[in-house]
Amino acid sequence: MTLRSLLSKLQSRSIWERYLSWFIPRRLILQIPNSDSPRNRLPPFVRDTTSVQDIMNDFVIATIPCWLIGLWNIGYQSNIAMADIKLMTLPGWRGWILDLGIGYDSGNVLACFTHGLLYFLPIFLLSLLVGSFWNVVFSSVRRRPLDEGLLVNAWLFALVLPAGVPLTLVGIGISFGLVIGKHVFGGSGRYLVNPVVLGLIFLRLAYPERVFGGSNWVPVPGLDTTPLLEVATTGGIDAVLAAGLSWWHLFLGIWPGPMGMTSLLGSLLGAGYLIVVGSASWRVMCGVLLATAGAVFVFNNLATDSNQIVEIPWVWHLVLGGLGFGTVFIATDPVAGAMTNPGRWVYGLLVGLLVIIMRVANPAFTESILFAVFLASLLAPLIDFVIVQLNINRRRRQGLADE
Amino acid sequence: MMRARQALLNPLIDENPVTLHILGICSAVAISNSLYSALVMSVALTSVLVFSNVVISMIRRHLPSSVRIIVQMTIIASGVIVVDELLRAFAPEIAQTLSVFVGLIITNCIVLGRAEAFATQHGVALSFLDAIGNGLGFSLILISVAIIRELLGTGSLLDVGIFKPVSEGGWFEPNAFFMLPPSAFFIIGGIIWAVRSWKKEQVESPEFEPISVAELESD
Repeated sequence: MTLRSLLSKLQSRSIWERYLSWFIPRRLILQIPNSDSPRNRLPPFVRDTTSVQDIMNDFVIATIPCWLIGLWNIGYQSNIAMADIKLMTLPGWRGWILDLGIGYDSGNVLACFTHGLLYFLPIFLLSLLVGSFWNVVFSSVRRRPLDEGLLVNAWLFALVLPAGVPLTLVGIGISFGLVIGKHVFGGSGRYLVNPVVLGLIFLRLAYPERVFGGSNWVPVPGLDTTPLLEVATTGGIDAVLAAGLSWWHLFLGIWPGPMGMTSLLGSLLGAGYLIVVGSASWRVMCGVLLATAGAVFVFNNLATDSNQIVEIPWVWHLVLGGLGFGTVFIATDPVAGAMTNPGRWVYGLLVGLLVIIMRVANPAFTESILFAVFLASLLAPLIDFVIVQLNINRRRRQGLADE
Repeated sequence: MMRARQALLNPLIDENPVTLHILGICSAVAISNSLYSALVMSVALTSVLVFSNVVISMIRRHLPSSVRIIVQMTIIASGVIVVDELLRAFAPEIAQTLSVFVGLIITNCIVLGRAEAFATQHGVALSFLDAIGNGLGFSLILISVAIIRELLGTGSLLDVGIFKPVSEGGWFEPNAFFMLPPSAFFIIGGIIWAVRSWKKEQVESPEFEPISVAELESD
């Protein structure tokens, strides 16, 4: 038995696809094409070992920096707040665990991370559990294999929520997102709008106060935090600086926000990974970036005195709110976004433009990246259609197309 | 007798104007956030439908086909104006809540659809029954949607508390999403899904056959 045959045995569907491929993308470890897989022999003739599962897992791996920073940040913010109000221990089971010698020291990285993890885990596990339930229901009724996208959906959903969100509402939100956003269309690869985005927007519209209220951002009893973008909208950069947050704080992700969406640094690391392994489109990301900068430039120069956010320069817009995270991990969804390369540019530009227009012109929805992605993904099929038609017309003019 | 039964009962489920023909969606979306306005809307639409179907069926043999749509629209518009004026005279508050949507019954595709598809080809009695049936079919969907939306959106029905909201010490979280018009799309979609799972003959034939994974694996 040669090494190669041993490897391809290891790589065979039985082990990898049943257990390990949920967590590790196969092609990162073993680069040998898996030629026995029927996927590589039969139509639609894509000769690649990358499976849908691999691409989905890439998104989980790419968000790990954001996850680490975000969870530490939740613990850090809470521990500082607790020291401020002289609260010695958290009520409930979280306090019981943290009192087992982990403590509430805001200088201790591990203590902060554990503190954040205790908020992340219930939300993530509940999303996974509820999602598995719907997965089993739909795959048994439709007699199709289990859907591949569940892990990344539950993971991203937990990352975009505030830490203090009530668990019943997490269950309702992920159910709506997965069933209405994904399963009714036939699962991953067929949906119109990213299920995570749909679930979050549902929660935003249905329970604005219970999910996105001020007490949820830093989950310390009795503490009310104004969302950062609202601070920036009413008071501009000066108000953000007055709250003790510099540009570098926002860049690193040290501010009260959603669990995993705070860090631009983490998003950039994730973007690097996704672009290197080819799972996300750099065109979409560049499009968002360009349109954001352009729209901010226009607003800066047309500034009226209606609200302060109009005058914020674009380098600040990049780090405010979840723009980085949304651009890298949500807008680049390979299914909901545009599929043609010029279409990806248009789609990215549209997302960036909508983000800034919503932030500046609509103070009710300042955290606008997910709304922008939602609207742009609804237009994505139209964008692709126009691009394809333009290409057909161009080739016809050159006499290349079949009549 | 058989045809009369069909004209009256078929539009309830089997040929429901909303769930099978996907007509009258605008008002089903706009009016369904409270049960009371849904009930008034159902009555208003059913009376307009009955009036227009009966009148159009009466003059169906004298109607030149080149101008029939214009004549039908005039008749429907007259009915709508009468209903609108009656509502304003006797129930001004509800007329205020429904605002333009009473006037917009004229654009409800169910009314013109039944006039064109049924009343121009059938006798007065049958057209009358058809109008009642379709009005009830529309009302059935509108009222179901309104019950779901009002119950989940506020926890009460016709101002009678059913679920006690958290703000008053209960367990129910009022879901503001169901107070917004887009929620009606999801509910109507869900109802259509349920009806088509029950009555398979309503399912449209697929536009293409997807390749099943089981087929790929076995090959």
